[in-house]
Amino acid sequence: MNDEAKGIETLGSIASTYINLSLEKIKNLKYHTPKKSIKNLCDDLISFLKKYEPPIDNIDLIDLNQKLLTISDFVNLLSSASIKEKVSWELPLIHECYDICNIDFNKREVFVINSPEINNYGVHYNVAKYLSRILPKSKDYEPIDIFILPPEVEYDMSYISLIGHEIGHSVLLNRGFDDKSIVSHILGYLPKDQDQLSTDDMEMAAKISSYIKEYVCDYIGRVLFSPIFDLALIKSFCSSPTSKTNLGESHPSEYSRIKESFKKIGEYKSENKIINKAFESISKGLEIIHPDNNKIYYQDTIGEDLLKTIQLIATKIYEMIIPKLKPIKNIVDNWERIRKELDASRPPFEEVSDKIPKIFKPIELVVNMSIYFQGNIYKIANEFYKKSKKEEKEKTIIIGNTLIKHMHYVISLYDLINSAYKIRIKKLNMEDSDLSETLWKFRSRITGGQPSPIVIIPTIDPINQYGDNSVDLRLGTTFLIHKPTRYSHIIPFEINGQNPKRQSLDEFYNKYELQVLDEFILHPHQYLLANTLEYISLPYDYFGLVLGRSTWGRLGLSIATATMVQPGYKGCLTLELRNLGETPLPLMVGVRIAQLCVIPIELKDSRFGYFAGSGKYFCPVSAELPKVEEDKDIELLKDLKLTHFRRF
Amino acid sequence: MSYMSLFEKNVEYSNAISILNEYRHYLKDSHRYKFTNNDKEILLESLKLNNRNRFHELVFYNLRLFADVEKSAAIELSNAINNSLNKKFKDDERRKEYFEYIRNSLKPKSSLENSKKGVIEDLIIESIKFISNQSKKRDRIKSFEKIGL
Repeated sequence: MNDEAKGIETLGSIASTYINLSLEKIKNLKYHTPKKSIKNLCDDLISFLKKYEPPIDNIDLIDLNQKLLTISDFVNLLSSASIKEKVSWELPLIHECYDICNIDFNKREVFVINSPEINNYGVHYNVAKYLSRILPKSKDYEPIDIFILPPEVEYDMSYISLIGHEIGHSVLLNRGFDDKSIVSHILGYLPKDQDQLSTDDMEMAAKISSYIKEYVCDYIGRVLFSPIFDLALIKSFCSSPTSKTNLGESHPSEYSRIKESFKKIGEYKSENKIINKAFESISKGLEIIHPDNNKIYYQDTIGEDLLKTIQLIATKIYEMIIPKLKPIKNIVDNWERIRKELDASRPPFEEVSDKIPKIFKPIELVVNMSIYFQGNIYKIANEFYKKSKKEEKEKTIIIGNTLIKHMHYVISLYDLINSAYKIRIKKLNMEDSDLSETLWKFRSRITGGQPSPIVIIPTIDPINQYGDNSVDLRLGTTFLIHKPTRYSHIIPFEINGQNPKRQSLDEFYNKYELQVLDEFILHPHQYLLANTLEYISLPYDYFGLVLGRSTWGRLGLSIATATMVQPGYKGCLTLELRNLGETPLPLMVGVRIAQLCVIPIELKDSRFGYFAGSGKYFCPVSAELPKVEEDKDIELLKDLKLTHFRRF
Repeated sequence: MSYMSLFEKNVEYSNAISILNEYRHYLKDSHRYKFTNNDKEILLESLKLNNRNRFHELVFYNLRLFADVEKSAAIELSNAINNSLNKKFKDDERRKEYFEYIRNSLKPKSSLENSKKGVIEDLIIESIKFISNQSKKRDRIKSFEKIGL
């Protein structure tokens, strides 16, 4: 072997190390992802790497290395997007935004990555195209879009509206900029010819085009989620303004962007006086962080005139895009209907009445629920706020947290509710149906001049679900499954501080989220906690009993051991599922698994309802672990200090 | 958008390096890596960019590339080739001369002297190193770049 051949062999062996590393990563993704489209991409990447010509010099190695870096980024992205144990509640919201923007959601695979970094919003539209030099050109890949969302969307209702900006990027990427009229606008507005372009000019050109895109995306976000988009943008930017050194690489300054948002919020007017008042109050509250009132924001360095030109071009592009979007109705049209549900501490799936229910869409839920909370409207008539004896601050935190959970829950089930509405509910003829003879009629129940309905939502299939005294309940989406631990047993509470080894109950359970129609097997004698899909709201003068459906009972399924539902209870129920049979039971999320029977009690005063007490389970929408440590009875036993029973 | 722009930038660097490397092999009449007509077009486009003297066209070009990942390598290519030409030749005339040689080499049935091919190959290697270095620099600033929306 001559020197050159030896050299090539060395390069080949270096290359194969890196290629093998990448192959391992791709194979790992392929094994773990449940998505066919991603498995397909993995196969093609594996095939590309296996056939890759070994390098013959150092430059080939650099080329290979850069490709592997890109593949690695790509695989990381797909791994974070497609392998998770949590259902993305945001998808129906993205679906609705795409519909408005005329992007066919059903022909795409859309994923959401929940980034741990604050402020980290992003979108990769049609990711496979990034690897167009690597993946076979002849193949028509199913478009995969990946949205990246920061953790704050889980803790504040309005922040999710900033996804509107990212939808804007999807719109621009879907549409491109080849429209000749866009060119003429740009030519008309930018400074005219320069003799020679330097590298700085090239950078400036990139910066200007990037600024234009960002402004257009803000406009699109605004049109989708106005006025909550502006509120969220202000809240997001004021808490982490970009430093001067990082300013302006690809995005215009926060100063210029939120100035526009302040203007929009100040100008916002609806036909509803309460909303207008709420916005006046929000506007006043925001004054403290107005860019003109403090110096935490840096202004763009590209000059005021150029910035104005950029904004003008962005407006022109936006004006050309807008007619191509579907018309957007007044976003607060259903305000009163949604507010009624929120005041009653019910997740706003639908307007509750004995008529055909009107369902609410994801975007209007984000906007109206954010207004309800941010505009302090809950203080006017929210049932919990009025009845609870807790401190003001604590009540606000509880309401905020509950609203967020309810919003996520309602949006996550929107596809199911919408399909049920189209296929089953819309066609219902209330007069001809026997529903008026069932518990359905209790949805509009009034006692003592006050609404006191029995509510089971969302409505999926009322004809088959409602009986005279009972309503069928479906298996929900969250599961708490016992996991093997190194602890000998559960120690539910401390007594006299003598249980230092006590572990949180979380240590004994794994939480899983599934989607409607997902299947799982409940093995013989396996025990797990699951929630009902339906949210129950009982009046103060009715209690409920949860029973298994005999169809499942005969197969060995037990659904509950603690079957009573307190009068006035609100929330999804936690079922205790156990397979008592000898054969594994296939279960499916969404299947009718239990029934709720309601029984009246003699009580004429509603003052002591659910919210006035100290109920441990507050409007839950998922399976919950027992809160045994909050059990007041334990406190009592500790306080008794019984002298003859010192064992503890 | 920091998260995705880094990925997109890496794609851009990778595409640019890949086109240059394929061009390098094409110059040497090696068929190890395929230098496609599409690659030629992108490289030609990048050479044209240097001659653009209309700022607004450049802005538009950037906007247009937004939806075309493969072609977006043209800007990186343009920068890198310019940089290596400036490094290699102090004289503007010589720069222009080699600029033309590169352009001509991309035309069908072009025939370049071996000595010139050698110089162009050096320029291309220099350009690849330049882009690779940019990519590393970008890696280093990852932790500082934190533009959310």
